[in-house]
Amino acid sequence: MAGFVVGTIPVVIVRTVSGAFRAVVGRCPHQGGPLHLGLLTGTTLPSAPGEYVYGRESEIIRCPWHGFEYDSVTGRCLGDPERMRVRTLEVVARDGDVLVDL
Amino acid sequence: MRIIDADVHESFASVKDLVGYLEEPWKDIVARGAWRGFTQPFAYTTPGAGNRADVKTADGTASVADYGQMRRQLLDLYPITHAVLTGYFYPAMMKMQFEFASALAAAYNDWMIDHWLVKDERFLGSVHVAPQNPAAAAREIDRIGPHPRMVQVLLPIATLAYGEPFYHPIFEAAERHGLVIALHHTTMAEGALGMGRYYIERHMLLPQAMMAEVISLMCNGVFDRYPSLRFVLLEGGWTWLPHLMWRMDREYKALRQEVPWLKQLPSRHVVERIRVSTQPTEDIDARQWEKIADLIGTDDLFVFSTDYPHFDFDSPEAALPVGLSETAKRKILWENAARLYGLS
Repeated sequence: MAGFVVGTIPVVIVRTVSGAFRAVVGRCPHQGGPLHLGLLTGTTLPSAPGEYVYGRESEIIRCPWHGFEYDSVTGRCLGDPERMRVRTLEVVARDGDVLVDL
Repeated sequence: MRIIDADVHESFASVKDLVGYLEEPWKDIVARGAWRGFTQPFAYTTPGAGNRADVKTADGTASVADYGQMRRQLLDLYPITHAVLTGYFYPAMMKMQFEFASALAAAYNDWMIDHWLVKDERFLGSVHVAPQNPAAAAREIDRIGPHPRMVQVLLPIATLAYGEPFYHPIFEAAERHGLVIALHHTTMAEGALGMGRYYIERHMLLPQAMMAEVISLMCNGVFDRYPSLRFVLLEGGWTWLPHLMWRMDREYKALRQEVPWLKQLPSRHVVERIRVSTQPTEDIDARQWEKIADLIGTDDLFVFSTDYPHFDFDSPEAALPVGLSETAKRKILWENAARLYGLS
């Protein structure tokens, strides 16, 4: 996971364990936490009480402040997917460069 | 718009930092590592293990004990005129060895003054005590309370009900020195049915502990017996205040005969004597905020706080709902706390 600022737009680029690159706007819509300083992680999948099923390794971006989780594929906040999301950005990996479309 | 931050947590790097401030037999105990300090009875599930994950020095080590980092991320970043230091090392959590607890509280106060309070004029301090021994706590308040930058006595919420007459010497001493009483939960705080099974559950339960303390203080006559004492409830929420005020008043009208030392409607004590910190702000909009303030009857009660460096930090730029009036924001961010602590 790496953070860049393009103009005034913070951009977070992540590389998942499968080698895919993904990018989102790196400011948490909750209180503005800097997402590039958070965690690239997996998450606990929906399960029965007392049962933990861990999955989606390296696909979830977690804010360093309050721990809100964002799906790097959809940008949606796992805790409030209908109302909260970060903007996802197109990424292309080409000739050793990673290009992000703002 | 200027800000007073009512809840900022300074820390030491290790409990051994207190060695030079302890006398024997406690000094040797801490120096030898015979007591390792407090640990929370749960695992943090947040990215920064209880703290903001971006509170780190350049080499990646966590730096909640670093004044420079606090300056960069809080004091110099926002227009903060005063930051009230509230600590996070609370000897009130000890379940035994209360003489040791009292010695630790005193050592912490001296260490905190040397390593934090004197470093920045914006800092105001909390007197830490071991309430398990109220006489020693009162002596500590008499010793440290007169320090010109000390503004309050911190009563950490674990499982002690501070209204009980046993603790009254602490309030007497605080009143003697014109200090505010601040209440803040510890990692040992519990809800009505205990801690719960999960960290999230415990975090949801924290306001219950705060409400229980208010009820304890109220029914044991602390507000009446110490009429010039003011109280600030830190990090325990506030949107529950209308309910608690109505509930206490209702019970008072019916049952006050049992507690004749409680001499006026509890809601009046709340409005006159209690202030509440805003963090952690709940997801309410400006209209809902104003509605709840209206139910309380005043917006004089709210004091802004960030809780830096903890994970549930409230950003001064984003925590208050958009659309609050400029007057309300001024009161929340500065004026209410300035009045509470006598700042100008």
